[in-house]
Amino acid sequence: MQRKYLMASHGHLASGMQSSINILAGKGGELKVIDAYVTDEDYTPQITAFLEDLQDDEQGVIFTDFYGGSVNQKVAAEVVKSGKTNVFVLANANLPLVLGVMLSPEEVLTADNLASMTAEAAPQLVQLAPAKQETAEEELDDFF
Amino acid sequence: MISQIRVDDRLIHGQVAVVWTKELNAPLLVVANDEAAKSEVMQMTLKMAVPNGMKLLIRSVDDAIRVFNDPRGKDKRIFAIVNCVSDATKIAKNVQDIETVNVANAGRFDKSDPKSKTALFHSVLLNPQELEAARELAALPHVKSYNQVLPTNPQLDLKEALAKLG
Repeated sequence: MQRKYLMASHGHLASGMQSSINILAGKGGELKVIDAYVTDEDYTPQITAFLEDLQDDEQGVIFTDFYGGSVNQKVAAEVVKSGKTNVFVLANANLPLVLGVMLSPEEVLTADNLASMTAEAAPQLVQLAPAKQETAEEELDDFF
Repeated sequence: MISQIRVDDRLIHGQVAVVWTKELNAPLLVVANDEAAKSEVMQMTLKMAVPNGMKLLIRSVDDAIRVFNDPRGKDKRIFAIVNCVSDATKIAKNVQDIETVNVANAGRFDKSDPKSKTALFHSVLLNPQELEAARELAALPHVKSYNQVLPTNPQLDLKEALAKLG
C-alpha cells in the first residue's frame, strides 16, 4: 500500500527533519513539511491539501513536534474533520521515529506496529562506561 | 557468507545502521578494523550504533578473516564493514564466499597528503596505496565491486571507474 508522509512543526524542525532524512536515507522528497509560525501565514490549508491528496487506497502518516501543542491540535482537528480513517498522527516525533516509519517494510501500517516503532524511537540516556568484555571465544559462539 | 563488505571511513554510522542493515537483510554485523579491535572506546561507540535485533562482532582484519571462513557462518548473511579499501581487498583475497564489495565512503580522514589522493567517486578519495588496493580488488573475479552510498543511489562499477582514470 502506498504511503504519504507529512511533518508539521513549530519553526524549522520539519524542514530540518526533511534535510536529515535526505542525508541518511535519500528520501527527504517523500516527506512533505510544514514549518509553522515562521511567517503569519495560516498553515491549515497545507494540512487539508495533504489530506485531500490522500487516496482511499493509500495510508497517510502525519508527524508533529509535540503532543498537545497547537500544531498537533490543528493536525488532529483537520484529520477528524476530513473523516479519513487511513491517517495516523504521531506526536513527539523524532528522527529515529520518522526514519523508522519511512523505512518500515510492513505492507500495511497498523496502530500496533506504530506503537512498537514509537517505543523503539524513545529518547535514551547514553551509558558512557565500556561494556563488560566477554572472551573472544564466548563472543564468537554467541555471534553464530 | 558475506552479503556485502562495505568500505566506509565512518564504519557504522546512521546511514549504515538504519538504512543498509534493512536493505541487506543481514542480521550479523562484523566490523573488521585493527584499531577498533584494540580500542575500548571505539567498541563502546560502535556497539551503540547497532540496531536492535542485530549482532555485532568487532575484530582485527586477520581475526575477521577467520570469522568469515568459519563453517558456522556458511548459511548466514553477514554484513562486513571496513574503513579502507586495502582492508576490503585483503578480506576479498582470503574469503571466497562474498557477494559484493561496496566502496561507499573512503579516504576522507586518513591524514595522507590531499594532493596525493585520487577522487574515484564522489566520497571516495584514494591515496596511491589505496588506489593500488582498489585495482587489485576490481581484478578479483569472485566479487562484484561497486560504489553506492545509499540504496537510492545507482551502483557505479569499480572497474569502470578505474578504467576511466586511465
